[in-house]
Amino acid sequence: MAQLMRMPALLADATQAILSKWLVQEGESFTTGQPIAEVETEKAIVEVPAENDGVLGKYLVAEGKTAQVGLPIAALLAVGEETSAIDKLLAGEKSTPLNAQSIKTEVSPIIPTEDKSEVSISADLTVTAAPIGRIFVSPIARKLARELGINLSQVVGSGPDGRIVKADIYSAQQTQSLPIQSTQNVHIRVETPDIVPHSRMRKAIARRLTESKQTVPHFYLSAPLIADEFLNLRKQLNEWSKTKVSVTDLILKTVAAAYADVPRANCIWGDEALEFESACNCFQRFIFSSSRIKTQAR
Amino acid sequence: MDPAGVFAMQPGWRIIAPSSAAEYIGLMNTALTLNDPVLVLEHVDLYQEQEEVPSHCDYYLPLGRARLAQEGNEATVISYLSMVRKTEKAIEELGMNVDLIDLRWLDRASIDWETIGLSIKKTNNVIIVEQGARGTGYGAWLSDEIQRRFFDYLDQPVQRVTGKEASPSISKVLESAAIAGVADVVEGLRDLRTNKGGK
Repeated sequence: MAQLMRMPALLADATQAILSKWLVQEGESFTTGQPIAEVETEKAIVEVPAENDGVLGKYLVAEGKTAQVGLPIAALLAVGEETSAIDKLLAGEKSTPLNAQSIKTEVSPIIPTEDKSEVSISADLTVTAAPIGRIFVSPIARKLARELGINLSQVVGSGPDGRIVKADIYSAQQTQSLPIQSTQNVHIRVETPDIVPHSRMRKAIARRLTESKQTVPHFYLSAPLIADEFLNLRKQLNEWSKTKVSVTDLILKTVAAAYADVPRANCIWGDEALEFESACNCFQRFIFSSSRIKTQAR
Repeated sequence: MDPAGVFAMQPGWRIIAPSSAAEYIGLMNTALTLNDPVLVLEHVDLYQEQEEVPSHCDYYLPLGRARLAQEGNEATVISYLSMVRKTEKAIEELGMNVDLIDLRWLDRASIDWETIGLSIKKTNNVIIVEQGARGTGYGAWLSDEIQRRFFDYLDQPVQRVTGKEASPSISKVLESAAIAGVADVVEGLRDLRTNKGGK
């Protein structure tokens, strides 16, 4: 009977592995124990042996590609079975959630999960950019929007079933004429940062480093810093500044300026990749993670 | 039943629908000076009303001119005959600020599009109040004509207050169901206000 060969979990907590080489060609037969494929983990390249005698029907993962543990990598046939069994098998597999998960994993964009506010903004962006169906607008509201140059896709309707009515146009006129904070955020977000995916080695280093931080006892050294000039500057600024300038604000400003000089340092560790930000983004980034900065400032 | 809708279907005569005794005198005087046939609608409910009329009765209300009974910005409320007074009560109950148009002249040739149009362009929300059933109702042709003439000025469909789906036979219950009262007008005005959205 035809069956699926799945990516084995070769390491205890490995979630994915690279299929580095197929050792059996499509259509070739194999015997129990014969290595079918080479799979690369963070540590080693391992041969995956066959569990039964059979024929390799079809590759589902090409050489050099990464696959999640547990997802099918090949369709195997029993000896003498017809190849049409593969299609039947795959048709059954498509409807299962496992396959859907694999698609999702490959497509999902790299978002630093530590930064919740950033995530929500990009989510908003998706909603706005999604194709909108027919917008229901009352005739007078449509006429007014045209005359006032108001973009109806940005207006939220308050009439029956969300119909945009005259009242909504007038309230939109007030908001659209002002620079909207959220629009600016979205604008910044649109500049996609340079993304450098982590190599497997870098990932292993990161995981080990986290483990050592968590499991090994640490000791800390502190040193006093003479910051009289810095504090004087702050005092001078506050003499004429309308809003109070804090130490944190000044550190932020300094760090942002330093990032402009050394752009390579202006990056974020994501789960899958390093994200290099454009200069203007670092301000926003620091505002979002200001709690971390405050701790450093103390 | 309210015959205005049925009578207004037929061209060739003018139709007047006075909402009070004083209106009746002025409209009747004008009708008598015309060479056209004029259909006068009298509502039996108005026979019971006691009201002041001007001391001398030789005044004429102009042909094809509606009366703006109240002025406001929230909506254009159109009515005629006995429903004008009921509509006034409903408006008062809700404390709304509307244009209330008493049509006076109902036929296609004499209806006052100037007054109706000015009001709709100002308020963008229209409701027609009549007493009888929806099917034979006067508001059927009027709302049709309004959306043709003023489509770009409407903020919601032309709303209608009418009697409910019942036959006004000898049954008191059926009769009161078939004719629209103040409560129906209040309900209609509330819906109109909801449809305006905002807030």
